[in-house]
Amino acid sequence: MQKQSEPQRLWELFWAFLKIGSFTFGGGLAMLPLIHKEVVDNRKWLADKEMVDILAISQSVPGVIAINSAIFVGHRVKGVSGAVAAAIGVTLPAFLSIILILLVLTNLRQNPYVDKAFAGIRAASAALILLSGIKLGQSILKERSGYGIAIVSFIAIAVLNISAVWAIIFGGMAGFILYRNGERSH
Amino acid sequence: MFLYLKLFYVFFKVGLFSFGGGYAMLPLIYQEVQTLNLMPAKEFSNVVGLSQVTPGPIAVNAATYVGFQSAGFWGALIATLGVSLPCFILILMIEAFMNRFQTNSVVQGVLAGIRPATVGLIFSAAVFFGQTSLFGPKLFSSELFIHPLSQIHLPALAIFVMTIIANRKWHLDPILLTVLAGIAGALIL
Repeated sequence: MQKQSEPQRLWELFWAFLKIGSFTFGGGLAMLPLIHKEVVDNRKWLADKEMVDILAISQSVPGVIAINSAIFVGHRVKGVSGAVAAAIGVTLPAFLSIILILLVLTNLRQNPYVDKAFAGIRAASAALILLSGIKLGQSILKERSGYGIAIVSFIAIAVLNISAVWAIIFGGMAGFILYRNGERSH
Repeated sequence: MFLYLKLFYVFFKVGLFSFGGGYAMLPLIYQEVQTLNLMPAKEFSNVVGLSQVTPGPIAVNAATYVGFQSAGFWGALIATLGVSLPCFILILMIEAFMNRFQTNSVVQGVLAGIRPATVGLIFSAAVFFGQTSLFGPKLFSSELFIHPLSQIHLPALAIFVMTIIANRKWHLDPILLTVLAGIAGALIL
């Protein structure tokens, strides 16, 4: 790989992630294949195996998945400043497009059709969330303990209105206890 | 000033406790927005539709949306910084202890428990968003003895059901479905 000047490499990281962040709609998960392609195939910054690991870890730790993977790649390529450049790149399109759409919509607020369109979109959103819950459930819930954790966290949040933070902490503790018991039975 | 601090606090917390991406963080944002009275539930519910038709991660879309609507441009910037900062701290920590993180079976055990919890989180989000989008306003008034089903908004329910059918049967993608629901809403609601 040829040696490049420092600012140039930062600029490249920023652009690569700006591009990825601009062309994926409907959330960050859609970005992951694009990140892989750009970083491994197009720019050849990281090896295939390294990228697979990065994407797996980015999804299993807390935080925004797309930002997590941008920070990982940026850090591997160019240290902390690379991480900052990649993170700004991947966030900027989401940030600017929401502000732009809100500025346009403020002028259309009085329009009853815009209001009704949003009511329709809200109904569809509820359906899309439900669908993604079913899909995720089908891929994640395999054992009885998993169903138990999912049901308890659902009841805690939706019925008892306990903070979602506690559901996460509960899941983590249950996972720890299950792991401990698994160790003992071996 | 206080509002900026609130926004930073809320979205820092959201970033720190969001697992599984996308919709799984919605109930937490919803609860925090309600508790701190940042915006009405109905206005918040627009966030999913907006993030379907705009690029980027839903969490960033949501932070920008809530921040901008409650405190303008600087509010949007502070909320977005808040949601991104935990990512920085965590990933740079993992980079420092990489090998230990991936091979540590206790960590893997904890994560194996959190994964099913995120399924519960997403179903809770579906309930929150269903409440605000499928039921009439009376359901949440202080009047007693209103049967919930009498308050259901049938045209909205029709859009809800059609969205599910269109996705499951015909595999239409969420972005297209969002646009179609907007058009349907303008026509029949």
